[in-house]
Amino acid sequence: MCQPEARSVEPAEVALEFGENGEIVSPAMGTDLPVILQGPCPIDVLNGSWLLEVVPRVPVVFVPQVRGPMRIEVGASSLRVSGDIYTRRPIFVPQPVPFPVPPVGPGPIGPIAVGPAGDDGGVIIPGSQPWYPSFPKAEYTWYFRSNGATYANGTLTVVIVRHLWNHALQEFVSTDTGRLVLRCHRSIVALPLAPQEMHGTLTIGGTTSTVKATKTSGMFRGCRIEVDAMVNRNFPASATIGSGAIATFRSIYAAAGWDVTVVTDEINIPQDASLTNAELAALLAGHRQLFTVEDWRLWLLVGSRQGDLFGIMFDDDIVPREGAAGFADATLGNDTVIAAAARKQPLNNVPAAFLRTLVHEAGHAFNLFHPKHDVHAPGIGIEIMNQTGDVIGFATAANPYPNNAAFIFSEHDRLSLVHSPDPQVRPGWKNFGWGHGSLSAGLPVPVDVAGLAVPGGDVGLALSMRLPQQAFVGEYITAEVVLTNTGDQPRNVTGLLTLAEGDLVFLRTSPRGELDHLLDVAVGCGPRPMVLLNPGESVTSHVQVFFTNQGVTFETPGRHTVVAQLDVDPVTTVYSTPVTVDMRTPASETELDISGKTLSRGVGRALALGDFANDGLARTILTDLAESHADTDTGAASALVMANSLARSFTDFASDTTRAADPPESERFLDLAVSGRSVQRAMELAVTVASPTEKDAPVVADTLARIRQGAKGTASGKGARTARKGDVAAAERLAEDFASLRAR
Amino acid sequence: MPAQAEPRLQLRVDPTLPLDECLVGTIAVQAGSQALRVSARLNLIEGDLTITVTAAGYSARCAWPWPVDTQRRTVDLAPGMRLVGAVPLLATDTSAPLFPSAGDYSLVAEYDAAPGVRLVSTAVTVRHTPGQDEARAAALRDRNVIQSLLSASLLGNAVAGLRAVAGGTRVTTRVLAALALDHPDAVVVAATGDQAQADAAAAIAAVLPAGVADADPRRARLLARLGADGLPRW
Repeated sequence: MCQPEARSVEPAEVALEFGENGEIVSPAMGTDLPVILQGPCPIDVLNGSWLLEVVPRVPVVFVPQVRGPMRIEVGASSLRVSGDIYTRRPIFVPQPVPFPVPPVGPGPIGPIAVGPAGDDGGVIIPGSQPWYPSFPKAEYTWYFRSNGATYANGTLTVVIVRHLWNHALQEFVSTDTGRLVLRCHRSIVALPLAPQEMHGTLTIGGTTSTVKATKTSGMFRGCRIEVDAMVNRNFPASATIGSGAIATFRSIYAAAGWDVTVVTDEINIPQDASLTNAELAALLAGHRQLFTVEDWRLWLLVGSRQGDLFGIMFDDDIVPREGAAGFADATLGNDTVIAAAARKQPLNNVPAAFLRTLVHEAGHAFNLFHPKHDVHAPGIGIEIMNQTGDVIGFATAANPYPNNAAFIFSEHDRLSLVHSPDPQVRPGWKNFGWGHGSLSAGLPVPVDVAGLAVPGGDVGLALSMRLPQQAFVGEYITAEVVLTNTGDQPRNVTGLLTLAEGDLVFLRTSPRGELDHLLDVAVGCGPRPMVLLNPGESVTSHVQVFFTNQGVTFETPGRHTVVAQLDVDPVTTVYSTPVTVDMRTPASETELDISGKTLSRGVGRALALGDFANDGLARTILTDLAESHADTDTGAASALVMANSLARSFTDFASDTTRAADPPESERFLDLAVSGRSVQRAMELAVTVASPTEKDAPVVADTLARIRQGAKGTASGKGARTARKGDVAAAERLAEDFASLRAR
Repeated sequence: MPAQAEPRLQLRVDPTLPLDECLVGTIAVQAGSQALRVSARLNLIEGDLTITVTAAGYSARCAWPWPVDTQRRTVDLAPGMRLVGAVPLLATDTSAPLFPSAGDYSLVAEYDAAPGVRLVSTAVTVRHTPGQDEARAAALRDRNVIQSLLSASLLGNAVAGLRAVAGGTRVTTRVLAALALDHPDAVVVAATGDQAQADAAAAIAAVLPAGVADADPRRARLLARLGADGLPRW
């Protein structure tokens, strides 16, 4: 909480100290600030939008740029801080300064408003425009919010909770805490051309960094609203509301601290009496102005009608919340609690009601909910985000709709607009419905100030992963992972493209929304062999993901989302795009039988390690699977585990027993595995059942030998499908890559 | 003095359905012993009605994925009267498949019938069996197909998936696909026969409900061709 005594409009008195050279030196709290006759800022100066930058200790070009918007809200008895940090690791030269977008200019509707407090704090350069720092979504790294703050003698101290963002998963995955200290001093001598700055430190993740904050606006966030209207329908530029005041789209958002620029663009979209969601999506795609910069934008349609709805936020596709619509032809009812002049009138004729609906729909595009549907249950009322029907529920004949409506956002919604994370609020990011509950719980991993890793990975490398789109619970599943040099320079990359050696990990989100890290059941340690990857070359590996450190990986029916994460070298991490695996329950007798046999820990471990060891039950089940279902990948994988196990002896030192090798049986199982199966798939299965840490696993060499025999026609009908020369070469490459990854 | 009967909310669904078919439930507010003015917005679109779906380790909220603004509509429900609607049971409020895999699901409806009056139905169970047509089942897991079926319009690249859904064996499935593909003739063909006509009317009411879509010309034209009143049969 802000200290009450600190809320003074007048600068607090501070002792100024002058150095030996006669120049003023900063007091102890401001040693990093060149102070010239300065005093502490009044607390009101803090209110608004800031650009927060972590200042590198040394001007090294390769250090990450860590910066982002920070919002400080100074209320009558409160002080809240939130921010969104974006990180960029320069490839060659750093960007000298963040780009100030949007370069907001006065919109056609009114001048740029001053801050909610009605005071610009003297911090915006006269004649300049306020702006709102915005950066590429791919650079997003973390969000922070205050968890207590003080402001005294020009020093703002904020306890922050940081929520780290996983770029690949597009989710917050972990939380830690830290402290932000900023000192705000204001020159006694007016310096009108300098925006207000604060300097201080950020302590988080075990390190303390120097930070600088530069004020950009007395408001908190900005967005450009492009309005297109269907012919003969009118955007209500202003409306007289119940209090007698004039409200505009801009003024309503300004009251919530948002700097909204409304631009009416097209006013003659061709007539269409009834609009489906598909037609709305087509209008969005066809009429929205093109843009390339990172500013926040929303497209708003003044349309005809969709049934009897007043408005809809129709855009919930993969780039969601970029468009919403209000329907000018929808007609108000004939209820006595509706103002007489508005009864049975289309919204087009009732500016206040229509303006309310349009502001309301835009609110949905900023991920606000109807209070009655909000997980926080803020309560139904007469504010903007209530449905019109609910507001009408509070109307009376003496105070009819729309006069009874409050043209403001509720406090709950205002706080969300000001302080919720960018992914939640910014149009085009997270889907509607995200973020109004708790932020994602995650793994509390202390990391440095730059966050988890450089988001977006490395522009010169591309990691891809292939998994089956669908499978049934209990089915043997493998993944193909490919790392490609897409740049124009050779790169040295890790040769450990397996789940068993720590460089590669799969991040899986289960159907329940839980995140876990998938690794092999046995993880080895050792030196990292590097592979030189020339431009255009790739390295490829195949891994089993049926049984991992999480047990049976895909045991839960429903949609799993998986992202591959690879530490390419000590400073570079790359991610694949997320892939989904839809797991269903078994649907046939065969699938039921397989599922019933594979969902045991012993069988799972055997499939993961390529050996049943001394587990007699697993041996029996694998034998059954191999003999009964060799035509399936799961049966073939079981056969290959048996072939691998029986190709050699095994000593259990705990019980001092040795399992003898059984070459004939091994060959029989190998026959089952390769029979009727493509050469490539047989080899892929062989390299996945073999443990990645066991480079000389017999099953790899034996399967390759069997394939070569088939190519020579010596497999007497027991081998894989007749192998062509190219097939054999592909199998040989798989075997080579298993032993030692090669660039191709 | 006889006990006062409260208004009741009732949900009906087919007890068994393959995963490659669409499910539409019927919903009714049965008047109590006292007349009551209730919301007439007994549909998924306007937000007064939601369905909670649960199974072992699974819980989802079935609601309209697009937030809408709309005004209130009420109806006076006298004793003995019933307000009937239909509800598409295809997707969660985030456009994910409502029934992700085979198994038994429990469904409970909740309806904000009036300010401060929330009616809750008793639970009903639907058993989802594995689908026969994997392409159709896969289509019904596709976000674009789901949103197209709900919005009765073609969204994104859902054409192929909707065509697969249009080959469904159930009237409900074929009608919802035909609406999304804007094939009114296919709706009429699917609605041949008494029960089929009732199923078709319920499917239409689920995505183009009375009160919301009265001004939608597709609804009026289809009901005229079907000779139906647009109300699902209870």
